Amino acid sequence: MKQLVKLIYASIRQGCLYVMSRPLFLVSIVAIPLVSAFLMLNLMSDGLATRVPAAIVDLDGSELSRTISANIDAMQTTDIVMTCKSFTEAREAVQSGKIVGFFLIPEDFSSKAIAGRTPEISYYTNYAYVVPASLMYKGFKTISVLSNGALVKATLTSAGLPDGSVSSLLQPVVAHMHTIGNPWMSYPVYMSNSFIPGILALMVMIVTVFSITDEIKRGTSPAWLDSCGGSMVVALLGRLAPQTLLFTLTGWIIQLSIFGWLDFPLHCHIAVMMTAMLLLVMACQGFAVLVCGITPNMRIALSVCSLLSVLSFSIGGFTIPVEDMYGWVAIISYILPIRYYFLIYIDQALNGIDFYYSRLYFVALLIFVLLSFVPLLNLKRMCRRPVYIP
Amino acid sequence: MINKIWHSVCCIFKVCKREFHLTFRDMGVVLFFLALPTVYPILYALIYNPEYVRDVPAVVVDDCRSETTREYTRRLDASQYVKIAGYAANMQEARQAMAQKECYAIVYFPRDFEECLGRGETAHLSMYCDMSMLLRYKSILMAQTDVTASISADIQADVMQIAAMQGLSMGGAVPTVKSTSVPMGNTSMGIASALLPGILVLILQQSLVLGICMLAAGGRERARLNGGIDPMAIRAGTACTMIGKALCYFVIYIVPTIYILKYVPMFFSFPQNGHSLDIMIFMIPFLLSTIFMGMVIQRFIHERETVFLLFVFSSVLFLFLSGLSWPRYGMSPLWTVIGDCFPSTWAVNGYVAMKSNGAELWQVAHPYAMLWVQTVVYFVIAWVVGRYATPRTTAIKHS
Repeated sequence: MKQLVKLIYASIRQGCLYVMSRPLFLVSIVAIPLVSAFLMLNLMSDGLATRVPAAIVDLDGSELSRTISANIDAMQTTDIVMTCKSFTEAREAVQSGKIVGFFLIPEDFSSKAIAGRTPEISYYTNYAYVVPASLMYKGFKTISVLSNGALVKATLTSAGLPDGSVSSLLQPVVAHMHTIGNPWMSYPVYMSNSFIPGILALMVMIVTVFSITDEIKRGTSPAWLDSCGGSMVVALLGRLAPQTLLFTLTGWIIQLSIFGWLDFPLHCHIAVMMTAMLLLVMACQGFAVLVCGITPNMRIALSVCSLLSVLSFSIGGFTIPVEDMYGWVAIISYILPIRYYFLIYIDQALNGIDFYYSRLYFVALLIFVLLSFVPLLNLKRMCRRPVYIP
Repeated sequence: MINKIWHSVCCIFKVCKREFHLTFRDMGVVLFFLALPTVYPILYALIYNPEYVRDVPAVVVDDCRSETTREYTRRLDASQYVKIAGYAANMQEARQAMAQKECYAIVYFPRDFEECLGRGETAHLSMYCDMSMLLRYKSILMAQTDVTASISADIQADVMQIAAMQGLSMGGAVPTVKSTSVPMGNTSMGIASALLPGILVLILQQSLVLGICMLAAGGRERARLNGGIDPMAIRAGTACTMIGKALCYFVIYIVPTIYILKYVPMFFSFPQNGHSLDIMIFMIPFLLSTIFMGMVIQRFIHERETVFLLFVFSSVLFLFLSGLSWPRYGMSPLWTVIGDCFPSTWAVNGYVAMKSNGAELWQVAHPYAMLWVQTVVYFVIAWVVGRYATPRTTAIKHS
């Protein structure tokens, strides 16, 4: 027993030295996740990208059309950066990326409105950029509904309908939208809790694979095993535990800045999310060990982990719900640890529901940790006879 | 003079030939240069191919139980965005259904909903929406907006008829302003058609840089084993070596570029406007600037496999800096300037303008010019670094 403790201590000491041996590791474990987190949080610090650049094509030039133009300009969502004299000019501005869309008031707009014929307005939005396009659509839609309302109200009031009933007639049903957990509809709240841990998970996997297969590449793995008393478990524990600590600390710094400093929604105790972060780091390490055990070729193991991690930003269901993917694609989502962290975040921090509902996600993360024991025999064999294929 | 030029040209071709040889002998690089650009776009496209979020389950809490509330529920269920998973007796039960992920939205009709309508007042209903995913929220919002508008229109028509019966003269029909929304570029308004064009360009950049770095680091590892001299390297000037290698990568990348930018959008019916020739001309400086950027980055990569550690994560950052997800006008000047420094930013926006919005080359003159500027700048930086910074060839210490 004493012997084992001594071995573990020596192995962990060696693991610490290994992490400190090259600046590469500190850069990948601490600097890259922190810099990425800073970039993403600072980049989207406005919360909602209002003031979408737009244009107005006013072919009518009447008082009525000018009022509509002024209303559009006054809206928070759009910023009228140019007024175009023709449709073609506006279209070309959209194509060259100067504006995201434009509002078109046709030639005979005001004369038709006064004569009681149905005038028509149209708005063009460039959906190649979804986020600004959706915002702009919302703004333009509001303006066109309001313009319609003003016209109908004027007609009805002049026909003798009492003012109060005219207003309710314009909007007989109002639906109030309550966005649970993110009432500001903030884009960074939505993005940062999936993408930033995603980058951390990616780095955990790659660094873990690298630091195990590195020994095989250099041919030093038999010596590494011997120094740990021939036990693969002790060797891995010593190699990975210091990294677990560093990664988890980095993750906690990120979580504290997201939930503490930026005050993003946190409807559970911070300890729950911090535990989830620790488990995420360990689960990713477990996954990486599994990959190493299956293919101890350094390059292939690294490629597999990189491929899956980069895909995880899409396949993890951060942007498009897993339920809406093709079934055989969606299934891959469940073999990635980051998916479970994301689900825990939604349940606990964003929606604040009972811990009971998230219990299985924690179990899933633990299973990834346990999975690392599966390929140990194979890994040990490979460490005994190291072969490096470039 | 002519002799000197002839010598340089010979050197360039020798370097190029050797680089071809090295590239195709190295499985890792072949994977990056050919397999990655072939497979990755397909994988991405398959993930996003459903384009929309359809039939988001919602639960109804109806305290009114009138004809109008039932009609509202029916129309929600009929819309392509939402399906009604069921009725809940009260909000408590509905919240529980949401916690169990049986629904992602709750529709609540208060007791006086129908009464308000009957009295000619505005009736209110509430909708509670899960915000874990913006696309889901968007679908719920679309369904709600459409159904509310159609129900309102019906109620208006009813009231108008009553008003006409009561003898109010409107002088004919009430004029309304008709409004049409026209989507441009990505006319399907789907997520795949919006994101994929940008991701395709990024795949080209990332795979190219990864491959270049791995090749260079391979050379450095050989040199380390061989007393500081790479036995496979051709002795030539820095500029000649760079141009020779660039020529090799450029030629190799012609096929993946055409495949990714022309055929992948065709396979998955993403927007396909713009002239292919324009797009290919636009991509020349993109490939060149990426190659020279790769030659700068390779200086920091000392081992073949460290490229995974130091470069793979950047894909996500480049995606954000390009403005495809969060628009560039919403970034602070700092990030706009940083984004300007990378080929992907200009290439993504230029390619989207051409492929989705059908822009011609002159309309993307600015990004095109910027890509040429980057080609020159990265070439100069790579030359300076290659000429004056001696690469580390000593063995890396290992504990």
